[in-house]
Amino acid sequence: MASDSDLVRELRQGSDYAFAALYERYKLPVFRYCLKMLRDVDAAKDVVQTVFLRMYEHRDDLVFADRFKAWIFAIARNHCFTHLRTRGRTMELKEEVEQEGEVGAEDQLAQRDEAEMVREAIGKLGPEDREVVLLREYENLSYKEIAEVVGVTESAVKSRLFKARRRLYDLLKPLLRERG
Amino acid sequence: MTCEEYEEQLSAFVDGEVPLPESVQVFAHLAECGDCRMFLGALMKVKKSTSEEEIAFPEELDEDIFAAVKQLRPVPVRYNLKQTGFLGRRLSWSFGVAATAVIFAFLVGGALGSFVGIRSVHEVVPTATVKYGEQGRQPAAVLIIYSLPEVQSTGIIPAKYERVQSDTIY
Repeated sequence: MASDSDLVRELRQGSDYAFAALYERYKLPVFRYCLKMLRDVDAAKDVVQTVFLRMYEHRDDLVFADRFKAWIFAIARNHCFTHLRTRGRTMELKEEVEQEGEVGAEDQLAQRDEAEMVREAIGKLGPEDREVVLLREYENLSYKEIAEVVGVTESAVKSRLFKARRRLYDLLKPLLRERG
Repeated sequence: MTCEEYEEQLSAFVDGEVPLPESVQVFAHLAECGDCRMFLGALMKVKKSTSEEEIAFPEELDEDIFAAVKQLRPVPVRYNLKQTGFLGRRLSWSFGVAATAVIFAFLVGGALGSFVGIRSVHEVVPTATVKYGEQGRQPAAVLIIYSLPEVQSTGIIPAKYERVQSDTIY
């Protein structure tokens, strides 16, 4: 299997095959990340499309062939945050109302599948906490790669991951205790 | 170290980012701290749940993306095709014009030539016939004389041309 670096070099030389190969390799991880970040299928699809079109349009500028994975997630991240910002306060208010309702339905939540509880708890994290958890847990990026995507140092990634996990734990602890 | 500091180490530990000497210390703490063991258990549950989650990619997006890429793709290629088309048209146009010009010139030249030629024949032949009219008929000689340019312009047969018999020429 060709490496990302090889495919990026071929893409820069105008290979459509290289584009298709990179697309097949990253379409699901990028979609999964966008879906988890935005929690909206249509918005995630829009961002995924934008990311891959941008990759194609700017294929000549892909100078970091050996860091393609970090590059594509960084592009996806930027578009997700732009989308979250433009979605605005209206959506945030809606989410707050939904979350208040969910607290009342804690009994229902406790009966659900443990994996589903974890996913819901991740969804309740703020975008900045959520993104590091997603990149680490779902996409298996190293601290170094996450640092490149987010634009911080590796020690900052370590710290942010810990804080995000601590919040996640606080959300899950009551439910896990009930289950013993 | 406090439990919070150990928890931070545990967070890095589950990611394989803690060097061995430090992880030994973390393990020693876990042996005597139930809260940190519970925290580690929660981290492991998160890892398990996320790794097992299956998300389907919306396949219709493939079509949308490749269609959009197709729209972008022709920029350099479209330019090349345009060039080819343009050259092709220009070439065929030039070829057509050249062919038309040749045919036109041929027809006009032929018509003019015929006209001039007929006139020349009529002008030259009687002159020649009169001037050299010993035999009274010189059709072959007239034809040869007609093909000589200086004779066409002057109507005079230069001395360098030798008269020949009609049957020899034919």
